[in-house]
Amino acid sequence: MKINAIHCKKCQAPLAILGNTSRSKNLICQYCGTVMDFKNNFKALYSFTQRQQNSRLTIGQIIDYHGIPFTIVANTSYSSRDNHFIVYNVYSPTHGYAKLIDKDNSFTIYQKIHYLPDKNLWMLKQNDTFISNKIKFTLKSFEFCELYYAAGNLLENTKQGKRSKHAFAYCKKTKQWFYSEHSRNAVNYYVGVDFKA
Amino acid sequence: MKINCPHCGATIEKPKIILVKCGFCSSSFMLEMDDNNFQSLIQLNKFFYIKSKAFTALTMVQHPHDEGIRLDYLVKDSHGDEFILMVEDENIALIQSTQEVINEKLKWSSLLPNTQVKLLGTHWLVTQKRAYIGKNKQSYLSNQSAELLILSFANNYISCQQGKWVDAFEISHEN
Repeated sequence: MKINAIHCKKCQAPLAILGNTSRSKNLICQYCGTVMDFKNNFKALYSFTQRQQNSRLTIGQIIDYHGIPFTIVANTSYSSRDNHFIVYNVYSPTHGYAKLIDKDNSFTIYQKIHYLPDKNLWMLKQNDTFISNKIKFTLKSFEFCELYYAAGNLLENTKQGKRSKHAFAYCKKTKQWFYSEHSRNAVNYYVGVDFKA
Repeated sequence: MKINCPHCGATIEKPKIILVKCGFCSSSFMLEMDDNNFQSLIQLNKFFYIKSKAFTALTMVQHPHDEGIRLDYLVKDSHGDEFILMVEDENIALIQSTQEVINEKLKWSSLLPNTQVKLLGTHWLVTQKRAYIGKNKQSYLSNQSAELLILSFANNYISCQQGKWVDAFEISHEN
């Protein structure tokens, strides 16, 4: 027996609980921005003061990736000094989580890769190259961002204003993207392709 | 459990989702009653293929930890060799079923993500820290060849298991 949906503790809006609940940390109301603690009976923690802008996809929407339906379960918006992007967490019960990133007016879908780069990505500079799974990538940008909005079922405890590091690289030959995010308990690498949502 | 639709009167057998209202605080939530719809790439006692190599899953054990639940399937290949297929959503790895004790002075707490370590003649990068409920603490290390080294810290010794990460899209039910 598992909980499938609840009402927001603040605005009472009905919220579907999508994704793998055993990994969930925060549930964030997409209507009022209230952050609830998944591990503590959905206790309301605080509310986001910012509102999401320009989201082109909605929580619950299903996308097709390699013939597998993935559901959008959460989104997180980041802003840096001269950029902003939205990371959508998408989930399939059989294939797990992937990321759909809306950046520079285009979508890229990323799946996790375990072929680690041959160099420490976080020590490189823009336009440096590295190899992962025999593919040579060029580092396009490091984004030192601030989280300004999030909604849905998230795998990490989140907080408005939380700072994080993201790296984006590209291979012209294979037209593949490489993305990495670094958090307290994990460093994750993803490989992605352009996606028409 | 059998109920009738309040609108048309049709019988609904075994409803999968019910709405529950708390008598104390009046909040309501939906419960999914049927766990039989548990979806997994791996089905017990059925063949599956990883890059055209056939395996059968014999048993499955759940290991709850601080970040979720890890499913360990005991699988056998066509030669009768046994492995553990570790499944945790998109994180899937085929690992040796045997554990070896290693003589290294490492501390789980100091193996932070992105720490580089040389072990068993290979350079590894710590990608994850894990604390299992009521059990050991573990560190997951990966390398450039998508190999996995799991270090388990218990009492005064460290044991390890080696394996290879598997892409979920590499698993199929037909060869």
